[in-house]
Amino acid sequence: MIRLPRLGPIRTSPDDPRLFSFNNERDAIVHDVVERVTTGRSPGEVERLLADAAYEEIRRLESQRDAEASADLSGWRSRARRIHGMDAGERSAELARAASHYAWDIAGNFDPRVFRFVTRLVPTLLTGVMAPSTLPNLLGGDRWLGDRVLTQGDTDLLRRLSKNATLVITPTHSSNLDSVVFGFALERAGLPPVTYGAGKNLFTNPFISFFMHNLGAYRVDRRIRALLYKEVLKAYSCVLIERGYHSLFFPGGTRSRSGGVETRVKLGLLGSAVEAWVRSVVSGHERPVAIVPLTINYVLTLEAESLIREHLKESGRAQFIMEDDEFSQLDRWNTFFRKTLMMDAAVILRFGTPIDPFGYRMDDTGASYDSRGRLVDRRSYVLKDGVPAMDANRDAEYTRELGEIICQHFKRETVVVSTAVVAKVLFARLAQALPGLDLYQRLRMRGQVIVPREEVLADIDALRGKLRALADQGKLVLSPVVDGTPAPQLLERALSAWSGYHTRPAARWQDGGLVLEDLNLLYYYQNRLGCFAKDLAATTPAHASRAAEATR
Amino acid sequence: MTTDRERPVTVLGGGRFGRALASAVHRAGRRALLVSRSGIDIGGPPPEGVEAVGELARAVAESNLVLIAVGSDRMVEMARELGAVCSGRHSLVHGLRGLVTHDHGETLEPASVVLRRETDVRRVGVLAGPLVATSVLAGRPGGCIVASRYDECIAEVRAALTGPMLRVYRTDDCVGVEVAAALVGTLAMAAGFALGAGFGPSATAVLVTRGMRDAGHVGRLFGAHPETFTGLAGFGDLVAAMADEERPEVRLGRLVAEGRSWHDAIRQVGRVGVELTMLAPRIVALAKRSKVDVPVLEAIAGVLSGAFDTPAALRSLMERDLS
Repeated sequence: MIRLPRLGPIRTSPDDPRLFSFNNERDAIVHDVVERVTTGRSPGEVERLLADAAYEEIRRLESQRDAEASADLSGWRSRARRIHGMDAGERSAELARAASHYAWDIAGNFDPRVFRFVTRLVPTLLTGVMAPSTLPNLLGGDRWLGDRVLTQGDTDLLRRLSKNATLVITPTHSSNLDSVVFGFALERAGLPPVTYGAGKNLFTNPFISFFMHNLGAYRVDRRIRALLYKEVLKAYSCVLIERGYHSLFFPGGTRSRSGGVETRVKLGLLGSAVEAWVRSVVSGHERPVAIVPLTINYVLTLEAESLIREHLKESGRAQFIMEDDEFSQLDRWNTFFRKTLMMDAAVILRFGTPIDPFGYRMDDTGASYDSRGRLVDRRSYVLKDGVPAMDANRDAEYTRELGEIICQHFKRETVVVSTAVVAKVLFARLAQALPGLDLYQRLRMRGQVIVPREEVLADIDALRGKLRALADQGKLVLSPVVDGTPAPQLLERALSAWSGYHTRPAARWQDGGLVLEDLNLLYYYQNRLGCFAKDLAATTPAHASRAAEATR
Repeated sequence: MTTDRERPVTVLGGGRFGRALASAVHRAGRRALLVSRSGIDIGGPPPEGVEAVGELARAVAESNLVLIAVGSDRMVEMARELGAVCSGRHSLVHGLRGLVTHDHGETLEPASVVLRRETDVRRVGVLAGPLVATSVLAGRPGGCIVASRYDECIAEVRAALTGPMLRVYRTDDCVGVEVAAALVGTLAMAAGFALGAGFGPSATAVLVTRGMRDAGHVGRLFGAHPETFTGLAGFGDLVAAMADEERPEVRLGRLVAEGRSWHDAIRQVGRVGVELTMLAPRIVALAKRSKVDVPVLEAIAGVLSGAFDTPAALRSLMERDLS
């Protein structure tokens, strides 16, 4: 773990973000986590948890077969042999040791010096390195990059709310770059830094690892299947939120392979947010928890090719961790950034309305309101015999409902970008041209379909009319480019984004028509609109597009 | 401090079913508050030990559990009224044997969805199965099923109703129980017709069994578990209906089989008849839109709408391809 040397504890001032105190509290946090996971368990539960951990860890480490694994493997084998001969006290102590090992492996680190360095210098350096033509304006790099990364939503409200509630940001997940652009957007919006769980595979890149290690990320090892590990991870997240650390986790769990917006979320870490709030109410010191759905919308996705490949193979679901995709290839990074930095609004982050653990809208004081504007008494949801109480079944159900509500917010806050519109139009043409074929047969028809330019432009205007009608109903959001760019330029923008970055262009010009070339890519980008299929089918264009009107 | 079990239970709806529930609550040793907007005296004085309360807000303020025994025509309005007075501590459990319709029948909704939408209450449930009002009022033994995703809600209902003469089973398939409860009425009507028309036991058994299979397919459209339809909410309730000559659904079928016009028969059995005759065609339309094959329900809907007569409906079922 790479950390900068430090002689004494971090000194914080009252105005510093909460995360600045993290290192000073880390020991206490780990202690809380271990205690929470181990206390109050029956001897049978302790034995089952230990046996499960030994079984799962031996299985994992045997297949891992590296130097790191062999040391741990002998430890777990020895533990497995001893478990059944231990008395209850020994087993409890062994459980605490295992939980402590996991908790320290997960625990993050936050160095304010690295944070200040990143927030002050990285945008400028990144801009200068990736777009040398802007070097004369290097000092204005932050602003320049800011034109590429747009932030939408009521960030003023979130800033005020962050003083009265613990924020739990829950973004959509398309790329490993999400946390990088999110960090940049967060800082630009003047929002406090957050702690977050990052896949351990991301820590293999030394450059990324350094920042991850020092900016509050905690490590999530998805290879570990042991129930004990999952409990420690959830308890860690819960303790952080309870202690007022603003947090981020991707409720989808892993990057969207299909390119679509998440329509289902994983409930483990989300449950930790609900539990943290309930515990605060039970303790008599309610600290509101505000869940903030966020959509991250890329014109160009760094790992689109490998993600859609995995999706189509159907072997790369949640459990699959790609070690060697575009994220680990520096040349792809370079090309990606060059393309991205040439586009205005290349990434749009849209913060949704903050909601409480029951999905009710929150104001900046942390109060909740239902859909009719009535003040909601949150405490009433956790009362038992008139006093707040924990209840695992009830809270699991609240979490499940919260997951569904977050997905509704994701849909509503999806920003439709140019590549999604053009891909949707071209993919629809592919389906029209190849009736009777299933999806996989169609995807094999590379270069077989040519669509005349005028027809593509007409389709873009027609689709945009429908999307605008949906946007008017508050069902989605159009990016400024999609909203205000005439169809020919919109088409060119999408084609130019794809060409030169992806291995094969999604589509190319030939004799005044567009040849549909990389159908997997078209499929990937059009999937962003997949959750609107029913809405689009039931919608008639509200009115002619403003962009089309502008060209007349 | 008042514990949850010491609080009274509110029952909304002064009809036969509401009065039966209130009576069961009293028999289980809990205070029962019976609220009826149309006046308790509509169905007679409140059952023994049950308190009649005129004001919904007062009853709800005292209770955690609210049992709703109103018809589908009043469900939305009732949900809105409850929305103004309920909070997160309440459990709302309805006993509606039907679905709530919107957009002139285009949209069918389980009442639990309406309650979730119109109120801030999360602990929503449904009470169904062979719960026969006259038996409950008379204190005869019986059972029913409560469905909710919330254990607390189920525990509250069990504590409120379970007694020496009433067993309350449980499931978490709320929507399954609601669809089953709604379609059992339709199948009971068809069974009444079949028996009245002299179809015989074999044809009647085939009709209701295959009809329940159709109901399971419809349930799946709403996200229900198929096994719910073979349990108390499905077959359990249907067996009870067929054994109860006074059950309005069965009477409706029998009356038509005996040669009464639908109009006449509906007038005899009351509001239930109107809801029943409207439900089947709407369910079939929904199934068609979703490309789900429901031949028995289609035949029933065809007869109800006058699209074909009974012999034609019977032929359509008997001549279906067995493959």
